[in-house]
Formats: sequence, structure tokens, C-alpha cells
Amino acid sequence: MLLADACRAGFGAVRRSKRLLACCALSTGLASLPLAVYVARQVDAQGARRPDATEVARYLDPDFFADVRSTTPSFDADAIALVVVSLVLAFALRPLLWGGYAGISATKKRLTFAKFVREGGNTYWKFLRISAVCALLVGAVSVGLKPLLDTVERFAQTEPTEVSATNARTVAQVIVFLAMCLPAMIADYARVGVRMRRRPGVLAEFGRSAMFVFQHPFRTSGFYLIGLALEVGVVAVFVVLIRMADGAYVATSLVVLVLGQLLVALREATRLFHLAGAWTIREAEERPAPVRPVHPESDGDDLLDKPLPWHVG
Amino acid sequence: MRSAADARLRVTILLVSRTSLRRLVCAAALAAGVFVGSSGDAPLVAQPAWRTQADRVPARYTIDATLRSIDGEDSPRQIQGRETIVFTNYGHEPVESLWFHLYANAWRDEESAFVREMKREGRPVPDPMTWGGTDIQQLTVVNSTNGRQPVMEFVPCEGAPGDRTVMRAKLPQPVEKGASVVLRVDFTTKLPRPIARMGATRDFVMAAQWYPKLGQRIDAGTGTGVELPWARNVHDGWYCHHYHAGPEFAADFADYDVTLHTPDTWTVGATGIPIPPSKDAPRDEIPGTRTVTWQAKSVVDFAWTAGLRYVERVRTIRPDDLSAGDAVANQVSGDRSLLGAGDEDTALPPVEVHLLLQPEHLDQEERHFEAARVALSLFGTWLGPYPYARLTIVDPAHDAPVGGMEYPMLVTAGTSAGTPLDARRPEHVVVHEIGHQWFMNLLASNEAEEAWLDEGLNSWFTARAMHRAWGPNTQLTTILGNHFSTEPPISFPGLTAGWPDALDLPGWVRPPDLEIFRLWRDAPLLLSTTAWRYRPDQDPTLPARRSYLRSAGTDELVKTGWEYMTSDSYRGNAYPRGILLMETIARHVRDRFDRPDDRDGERRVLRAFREYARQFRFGHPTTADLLRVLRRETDLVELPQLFEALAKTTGLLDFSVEPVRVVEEHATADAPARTWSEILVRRRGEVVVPVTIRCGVHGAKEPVLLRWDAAERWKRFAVEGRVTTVMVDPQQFFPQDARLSDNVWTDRRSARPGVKWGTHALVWLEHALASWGRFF
Repeated sequence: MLLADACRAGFGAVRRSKRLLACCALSTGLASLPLAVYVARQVDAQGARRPDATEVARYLDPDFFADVRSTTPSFDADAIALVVVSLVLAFALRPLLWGGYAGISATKKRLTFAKFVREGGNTYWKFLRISAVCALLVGAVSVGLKPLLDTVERFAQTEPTEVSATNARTVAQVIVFLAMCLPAMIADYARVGVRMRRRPGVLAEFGRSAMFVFQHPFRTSGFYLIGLALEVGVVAVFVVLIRMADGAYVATSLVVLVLGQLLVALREATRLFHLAGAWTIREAEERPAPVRPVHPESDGDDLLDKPLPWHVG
Repeated sequence: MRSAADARLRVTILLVSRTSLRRLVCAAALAAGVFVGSSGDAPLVAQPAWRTQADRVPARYTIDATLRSIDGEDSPRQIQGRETIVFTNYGHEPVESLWFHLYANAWRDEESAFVREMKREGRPVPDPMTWGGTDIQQLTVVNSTNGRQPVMEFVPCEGAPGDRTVMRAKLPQPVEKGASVVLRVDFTTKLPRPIARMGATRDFVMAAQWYPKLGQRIDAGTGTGVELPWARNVHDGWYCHHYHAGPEFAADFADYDVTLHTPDTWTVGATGIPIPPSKDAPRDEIPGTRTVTWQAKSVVDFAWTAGLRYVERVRTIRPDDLSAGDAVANQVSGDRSLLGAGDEDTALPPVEVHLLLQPEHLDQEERHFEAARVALSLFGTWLGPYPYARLTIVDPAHDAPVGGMEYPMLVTAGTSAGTPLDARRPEHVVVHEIGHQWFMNLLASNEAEEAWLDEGLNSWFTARAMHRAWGPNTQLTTILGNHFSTEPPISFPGLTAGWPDALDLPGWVRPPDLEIFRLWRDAPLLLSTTAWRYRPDQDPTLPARRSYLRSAGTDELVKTGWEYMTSDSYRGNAYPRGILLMETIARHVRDRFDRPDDRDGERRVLRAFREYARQFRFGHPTTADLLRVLRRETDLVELPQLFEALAKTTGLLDFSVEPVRVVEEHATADAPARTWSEILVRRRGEVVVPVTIRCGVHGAKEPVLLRWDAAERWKRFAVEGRVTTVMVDPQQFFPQDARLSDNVWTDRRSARPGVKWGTHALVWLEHALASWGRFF
């Protein structure tokens, strides 16, 4: 029942925040813009005057991109620098979004954009620390599980068939991926905890959230997997849509752009979905237990009227 | 070792006596004016039939080999062998020593030249490595008259003194001209963990380069006037190179009679044809072992494989059966009529093809056989028939990196489960490796010294065959066993994999390479765009161009294999540069001689290669031989200059055109109004070749063609009218051009490429940030 409640809360939060989610996707788009502009300019410099410009736009032409790279030898380095800048921007922006999502989760009302930003600002520094801790833990988990991957790789190499070897590798990688999701899941509960209790200590809250997750492994991980499955499903659907829409013309590129924005907005929606659901789960568990009514004493003889055990006389 | 002065001697491959003989015959015929190749018409002399075996083979091997386990190990990886070699001296000088390749010793330890060179280039040895090697227990001269035996010593390799891949046996008495020596060699070869063409794992064995093998006898002083560019690597009259990480092999023709004892549950494939055991043959002494004797005539090597999991399929392929009526049959039919050769000359005998497949690839059986049909049909039509009755295609075990290798009558392919059809991966490998039956075995050039004669020519014919049979294929990206017919246009190896190096992170804190995360991050772009290796409207040699440009500008085309700067440079020169060079030559010939109603240029190209293949069949042609035949048969006078410019330099070829300036002059009292265009063409690369510039002029029906010898770095042309398009090298004679985009210019601007790929970059990065965002 609790999972259903969490799903209901998650979907409710998403339904109430469609415009806000679009804004969040737009912020990701803005963070990505430098690379897009750079690539567009470089490609335009090489491709705009080619007689086969439409074909260059239609097909992924490795020769053309080789030309782009050889004309600007620093193309990859420049692009990497721009991606890193975007990544830093996104990392800095993320706590603001998480704060807004936590604010949405805390109330059943529709949040205005100003309120959303205010919510994000209120918890920004705490959530930034949570994000940093989470990223560090994810990195530590991935590094820590390297021996598992190595072991599986050695095992796969001794497998007689290619299929069984691939399956072994896939299972190992899925395990590592899910293990990397564990700190992310705990971080969501920590965000809920920080927003719910307004407690000052981020690390302590992280620890408490970890305890919470370990105490309720099925409902927390089950709900996280639901959110993850939704996100994977969204990506799968949009991969098909983007493939159908893709073409050689400016109009088709704009369609792809819109679809890409929609994809990111829906992925953000799955994040909000999980946070709102996590709020429900944690709230339900940490709600003070109702005071049990004292059972009235039986209607039998009044105790006071009863003879005391030692009153034998 | 020979002195440098000796090395400058004019030497000739003598043991390919037929080759030498043919050179003399050809020279005499030319002198007598018998050949009329320069006219491009059919030669007046009757063409000799295609040979089916070498005239003389200097070595005959009889080997008895048993595959068994090493004590304490479960799977067999040790070959216990007894070898009898009959070496005949067909040279002019006595042979005082015999030189042997012991290739398997490359995997004896880390001191070999191969492993050192691998490490120098950062290519890791598999971890954990199971080392191997060849030990010779005994080497004796059976027909020794003085009772003395050879003295053996390893020949040190420059740069790797611990290398043991070449051994010299000083004979107790010289082998005189025309005489033979009979040797008996008892040896043990331990196969390593599969690496670079050979090895054993669990229930799979690929036994290549597994037995002590004679080097190639080169005799000096025969005075036929042919100088080998690599004479300095001939020692004691032998060409016997150490086993290096880059180049492949050089060998002479030999006959083999090999008896293999393998586990009776294993399937075996080998060079040669299995000989049915006679009724009187003794039964195997070792229980659980099966014995088969394989015979091969006139081949340059003997390789075999055995495996428990192989599924064997057999089909007889009739390469000249044109009843299929498909693209290949039409091509064969068209080329036959173009060549105008008689049925006898173009007949292709049936070949029994044995396919040893891994069970998980059974659904690709048809693809392998179809590729074999394509290769045997087209290569046979272009270069003469495959001379043997049997061919084995091997699909190696998944953890054995021994695929994509050629041996006489046996090739290793390579595929993986679920490989999409449009990638044509197993097809390409099979066609290429079968092509080596010509460019390696029948035309046994020295691949260690002139690798492009094998790999370059074969790759060119492979590209032709692939294009004619199937058209363009797609790029392939594989993640966790899933194949995608694309690769991301914007990939950041530095961001995703290179940053730990940039930060010099110690190994233990480096994050693992998670393919699943890559799929998570790149999914939309990986799945949204199909990436063809070349567009349907494009030149099929473009993939070769890309490959060449990755390592261009460092080495000449023809060079000793281990002296290239890197193995990438070796590969770039051996494979794609040869393709580009051949394509340049062929396009020049077609441009010169093709007519709207007569494909004389294409005919000359085909005839030239058929003549080359005919003349040097079962021989050892050199680059000079090829150029001489091409020059004679195609009548392309600028061929030497093209070869000089495109093969003997390390420079790049790169032309560009600057934006056109249109000048409008108003009418004056002296002159009427005039519009003209100024075109600036630049030669940015070092390679100087003449080019054509085609200019489209507004309102003109025909384009203006300009010729430029490119002697200077740039040239300004003035063209009457408003030029709307400019194209340097419009016939695409030179696919080597380092940048094709700046070879063209139009007055119309299109925003489509910029918008399209900028949008894709945006969507990729947004998606990537969202993917990373799950973890912070």
C-alpha cells in the first residue's frame, strides 16, 4: 500500500509541476548550449559551402567530421572543455532543482516559479553538500567494485560460449550500476530528511537516511527501481521518436530539438517522482506513532472493593 | 652476417626459380616485340594456362604432431612434434647453414622483440599470460656423410637480444647446388594464451607458426638484374626475419605432409586436404586420440586448428555458376565479357568450403558461405582461379583474438553473436582473408618488407568486391554484446576515458570502464543515426582514406615492416595507403581510356592485374614487378611519377579552394561591362601532383576546366562570368586529399549541416547531463 501511496504522491507532484519541469529541462539546455553553438559553428564552417550540404546533414559522414577535426585540431579538446564547463554548471544548478523538488514534495499545492526558486535557495548549500557527498560515494562505489568486474571478466574469459560470457559481463555491469544508484537513492532520502526536519548536519542526515534505507530495503529500493524503470522507458520511447523525426532539414532538426527537450523534462519528472514518493515513504515511517488508547478496565468488581490478598480476615 | 657491401649486391630470389625464369622470358619476349601490351589490345601470344602448383619447391616437410596437455593442466596446449625436412638447394651457391623461424618463441617470455614492441606502444600482454614457446630437442642431418651434426645458435635481434625467434644451424657440410639435405627435428611447442594469431584456450587450439620453419632462401650473384630493396636484411643467403609486432611473414613454397593426433571429440581444420587412412594403417596408440594426415602442395605455410565446440558445415561452391543472377554473377559475367578471355581462361573450378563455426554463430552460416562465394568468384575472375580443391574458414572461440588471419587454404574469420547484417562484418573479414589466398599465397611477396603488396592490393580488391556485392556497410559500435550500426558523431574519448591519464591517477582510484554507463549516457545518439562507412553517393575508398590519414605523414609506403615509426603507421601504409594508390592509378587509367561506348580503361586495369597474377603465380613479386606490369599493360605513362609522389614521400596531399571573388567591372569608354571571378587554389600539402579544377559558371552550359601543375603553393585563376561552384580534383583522382571539404565551394550557403549537428550535440549533452545528474 505504501508503494502505491508513494507512486500516487510522485505522479501527483509531477502533474502539479509540468511547467516547472519544462523550466528545469530548459536550464539543462542552457547549460548545454555552449557546446551546441561551438559544434554548429565548426560544422557550418566546413559544411555550409559544400554542394552536398544536405547529404552531410542527412548522413553521419565520418569523412566530414574528420575534415572538421583536421581543420580545427583542437576541436575535441575544445569540446571537452565545453562539456566540462556544462557539467560544472549542471552540478551547481542541480541542488537548486533538488531544493525545488523537495519543496514540491512538501506541499500538495502547486508551486509558483518564485516559490520553487525560493525553496531551492533555502536548502541550496545543504543540498550542494549532499550532491558532493553523493558523487564522491558513487565514485568510491564504482572504484570499489572494480575487483568484482575484474573477477567477472576473468570468469567470462573462461566461459565456453560468447553468449554466456556476455551475460556474465552484463550482469556484473548491471550490479555495479545499481550499486552506484544506492548512494543516489540515499541522497534523495537525505534531501527529504533535511527538508522535512530542517536539521543542520548534512553528513548526519546522510547517515540517518542510509539507516532508513537499510531498515526499509524493500520499499525504498522497490520505489527507486520503479523510478529508474520509468526513466529507462522514457529514454527508450524517445530514442524511437528521435530516430523517426531525424532528417537533413532545419525543420527536422528543430523537431529533434523539441523532442530532446521533452526527453530531458520527462527525465526530470522521474527524479521529482522519486523524491515526492520518498517523501511519502519517509513521512509515513517517521510520523509519530499514534497514542494507543488506554483500554478501559473491565466492568467487573471494583478492585478497591476486592479484598487484598493479605486481607484474609 | 653479411657486410654492408655484400648487402648491396644485386640479389635475386632464386628459389622462386620460375619467377626468375619468367622475368627472363618476358624480357626476351618484350625485346622481340612479341607483346603488344602498350596498345591495350589482347596480347598476340597465347596466354599460358593458370598454374596449379609451383614448379619447384625447395622444402618438403613431413611432420608428425600430437596435441596433448602439459602436466598439471586440464586443456591440451602442447604440441609434441617430429619433423622431417628435405631441403633442396636450387641456388647457385652452396648452402652452409640453415636458418629457421621459431615464431612461437615470441611468447616464451617478455624478452622477445614482439613483446617489447607491444609494450613500447602501450599494448598490454594479456593478464594473466600463459607463456609458450618452441623447444628443439634434437636437430640432426639424416643423410650426413661425415657423421657430424649441425651446430645450432639463436640469432640475436637488434633491440631485443633475448629474442629467440630465429635460429641458425651450421651444417656439418655444405649443401651443394642441386643437392638435398634431410633433417630430422624433434620439437615441442607450447601454445600460449591466444594472442596475435596463435594460442590455446580451454577447448580451442589455433596452431599457427607452430613448427620450426625454414627461412626464405635468397641467392646472390645470379645476375638477373633485379635488385631487392631489402637486400640488407638477407644474411648467409637467407631472408629470415625475427618475429616483430607489426609485420607478417615471408616464406617460400613448400610441400607438407602433416599427421595430427588430436582429441577424438575435437573437430580439426587445417591447410591441405585430409588423406583417408588406409586399411593397413596402425591404430592410434593413445586412446581418445584421432589421427588425420593432411597434405598440401605448393603452399607457403601450414596452419591448423582444433576445437571441441566447432560445428562443421561443408558446401561446394561453384564460383563460375552465374545462375544466381545477382550482383556478383552480373559482375563476373560483365568482367568476363570485358576481358574478352576465353572460357578456358576464365573457368573457375568448384571449391569444397569447410566452415568451422562456433555454435552461437550458426545463424550466420549463410553469410559466411555467401562471402566465400563472393570472394572465390570475384577474385577468381580478376586474378585467376583458386588452385586448391579445399578451403577452410575458421570462426575462432570468443576469447581467442586470432581471427582475421590468413593461411594457405585456411583462414580465420571473426564475428560475434547478433552482428547486424548491414555492418557486413563477417562478410568483410571472410572476403579479405580469402583474398589473401592470392595476395600472400599465390603471389607470395615478402610481407615483412613490402607489406602493401599483400595487404594493400588485397584490401583494394576486397573493397571492390564488397562494394560490388553489397554496397556500403555501416559502422559498428558494440556495447555489452549489443551492436549498433552507428558511432556517435561527437565522441569524447578524452572526457570519458582519457581524463584519468591526464590527471595521472594511480590505477587503484581509476574508475572502471562501464559499458552500461556508456549506453545510459549515449543512448539517443547511438540509436538515432545510422552511420554508413561511406554514403551511397560517395567514393567507396573513403573509409581507407580516413584510416590512412590517421597515421599519414610519418613513413614511406614501402619500408621494412618493423622500421615504421609505430605499428599504426605500419598498418596505415600497408593497408589503406595501398588502396588509395591503386584507386588513383585505376582512375587515371579509366579517365584516359574509357569511352562512352567502351570501357577500355577498366579493361586495361583488369588485364594488368590478371597479367600480374598470371606471371607471378606461385612466385614472389616485388613492387618493381607490379609497377612494371601495370605500366606495360595499362600504358599509363605517368605511373612512375604518381608512384614517386604518392608512395615514396612522407608528405600529405592537400588542396583547397578559397572563397571565390566575383568582380563586376562597369562599362567604360574603352571596354564593355564585364563580370569575372577570381579563384584562388592552394596546395597545402607537400605532395605535388597536377590537378584539374572545375568551375561552374552562372548561365554557362558547360563547366570551365582549369589545369594546374601545382608546382607552386598557390595559383590565382581568372574565369569569365560569375562562378557558382568550384571543385578541385572533380574526378577524385586523389582520395588521399587530407581535407575534402575545402576542395569544394559553392556560392549558395546551407545552414542545414550546422543546425543539424549542433542540435545533435545539444541533445547529446542534455541527455548526458541528465544521465550524470542521477548520480549527484
